[in-house]
Amino acid sequence: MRRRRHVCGEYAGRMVDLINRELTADEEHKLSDELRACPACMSELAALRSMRSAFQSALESARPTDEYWTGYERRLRERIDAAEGQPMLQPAAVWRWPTFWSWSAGIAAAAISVLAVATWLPRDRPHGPVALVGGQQQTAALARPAPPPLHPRAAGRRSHRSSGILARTAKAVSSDHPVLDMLMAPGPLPLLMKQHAESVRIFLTSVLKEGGLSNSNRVRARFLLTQNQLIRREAEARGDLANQEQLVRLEPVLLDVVHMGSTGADAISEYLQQRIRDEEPLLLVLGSPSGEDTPQ
Amino acid sequence: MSSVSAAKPKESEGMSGIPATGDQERLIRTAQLGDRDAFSRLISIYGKSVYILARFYCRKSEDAEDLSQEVWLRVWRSLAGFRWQASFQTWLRQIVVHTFLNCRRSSSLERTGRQVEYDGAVDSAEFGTPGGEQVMIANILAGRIREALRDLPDRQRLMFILKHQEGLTYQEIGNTLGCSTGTAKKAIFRATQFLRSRLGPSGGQDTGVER
Repeated sequence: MRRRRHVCGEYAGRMVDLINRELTADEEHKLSDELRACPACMSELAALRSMRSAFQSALESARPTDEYWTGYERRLRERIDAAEGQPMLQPAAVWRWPTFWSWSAGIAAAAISVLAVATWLPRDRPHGPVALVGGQQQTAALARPAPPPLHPRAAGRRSHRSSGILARTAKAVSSDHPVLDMLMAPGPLPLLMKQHAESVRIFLTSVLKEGGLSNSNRVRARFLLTQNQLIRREAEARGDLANQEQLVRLEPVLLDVVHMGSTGADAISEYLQQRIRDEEPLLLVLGSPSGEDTPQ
Repeated sequence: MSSVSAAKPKESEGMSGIPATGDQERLIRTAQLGDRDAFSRLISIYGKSVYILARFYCRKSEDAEDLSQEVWLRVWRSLAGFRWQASFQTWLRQIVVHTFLNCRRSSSLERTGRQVEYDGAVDSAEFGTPGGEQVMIANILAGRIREALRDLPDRQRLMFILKHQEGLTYQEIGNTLGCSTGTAKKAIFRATQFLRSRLGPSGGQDTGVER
């Protein structure tokens, strides 16, 4: 049987795979045998190995010194301190504790004030501790501090919720956000989920059709991401684990779209097609697709 | 809260080389609740890997610091949203990739000038001290490689660094950057060929300094 003629160019890809350790032991062995017969290939392989080892040495030399690292960590802490004032994505537990403690502090302060005033009041005043609020006497039972101020839209419809999500939502969304209307609607969460999933599905389809991210779509992506986070928190607050889980799956897709602004249109299309294929069953279940708009 | 202990990473390991121990999981969960000490411990575990990635992704060292710190700021802001569906390393790497690929608007990170940056090689090499010359040679080599990397497209550069610093497979790189394994493989092949041609047969190890 005639042996196949060796063509150096055919080995370029596999030589790179070899130095990148992407071949199995068998493949490595076989390739090494084939290359051994060709001095040009051996020399090329040596150059590639040399480059790889140079890069590894360069990585080692880039390791920061302990002295530099101490300063680095300090500067990073300062940056985080400076950024503390910005809104952060916080879980419900983190929201509740400061609220609880600040309320407790408020109640304690109010109780001390009431006791202090009551001690010094003349005996002909009504029995029991009283407080002077706004120039009028009130009983201590009314000394409970007022809840934190709500978003203007939230304030009007507070009766719809008892979970406290509205206060958190109002705090999380500094400007008027249409999702507040959705969240405060008296409808059940599944309906809300359906509307949201349909919005996401239509959005992803339009991004695919356009083959990239226009400015308006980028804004839309941010909006849908915020909406997703808010509804997820609502699901979390209601203990609706099933819906929460589904929203958690949607969130990285939206987050990725938001962050893909600087990549090319081809990359976005390719990426989205893959993600939509992965998440399509979820969107189809949650939304009510109208056939034509279903992403391909 | 700050009493949570964590395993120290071995030298020259990337993020993926750090085992996720029970202690680390506890550390991450504590940091998720807003504990700054726990978060500092996370930085001390993974910070150097992120910094080295940034060091080879950016041209200037001050940019590397800025960019890697930007990664940690994002991690701090979104840590509470981490749902344990993937490992922390995978999640962190996603943030690294997104932050790096979105950083080029910063004017200081844009390509300016053509001079080779030798990274303070002369300053850091203490002549006359044992090993000083080796440090200088290593720095020259690192500078030459960074200079060559700088001319690669952003995604190709990032894939190449992830391959060699983090030791990821083509498939893992594809998943991290949201592309197919074939695309990742092709990009790394091109990057390798480019660097090979730029650095010459010695792989860049001929620094012109006599050893």
